[in-house]
Amino acid sequence: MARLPEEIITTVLGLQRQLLERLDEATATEFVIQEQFGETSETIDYFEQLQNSRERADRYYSRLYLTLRRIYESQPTATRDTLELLYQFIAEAEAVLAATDATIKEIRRDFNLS
Amino acid sequence: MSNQPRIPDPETRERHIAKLKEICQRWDVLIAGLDELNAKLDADFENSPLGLLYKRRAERLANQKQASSSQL
Repeated sequence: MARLPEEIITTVLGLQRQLLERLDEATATEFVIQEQFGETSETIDYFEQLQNSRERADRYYSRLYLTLRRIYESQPTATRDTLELLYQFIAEAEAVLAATDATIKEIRRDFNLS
Repeated sequence: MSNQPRIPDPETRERHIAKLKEICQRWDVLIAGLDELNAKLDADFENSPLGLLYKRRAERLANQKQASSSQL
């Protein structure tokens, strides 16, 4: 059986939830900047980069989903190497998610958005 | 009216954009890592007892199909 330990699967599912939340924050920020200021030379870079970071989070999310499926079909068991890489990528993704959250909050604060 | 939304000054904007770019680069590294891991998992599966079983079954089905179509 290639089931992941309870703690790890809980972490992965929590990570997926956080990815969705960051997607929402980035999109909501694009929306409110667009509503307040429109597309100007001062805001255009924000739209581009917020969209880029949203797409990256989305791409990571879909890759992670594929990894989980493949680990669960590994029989009789997923290798230690695989699990170690998965743990490493999860830990790193949590750090990038935290950085994304902090940056979006900073942007909203500096724009004085609620 | 200090609560009104405002566009930040150029230095602040530059800092925001630089941070978003850095985040994208960090994601790119992780996405590439997962792609590599997924390719390895695919290859491992193909060479696993179950993967080889699936392969033999697919070959058998393909041969049967060919045999039955050549009888027509």
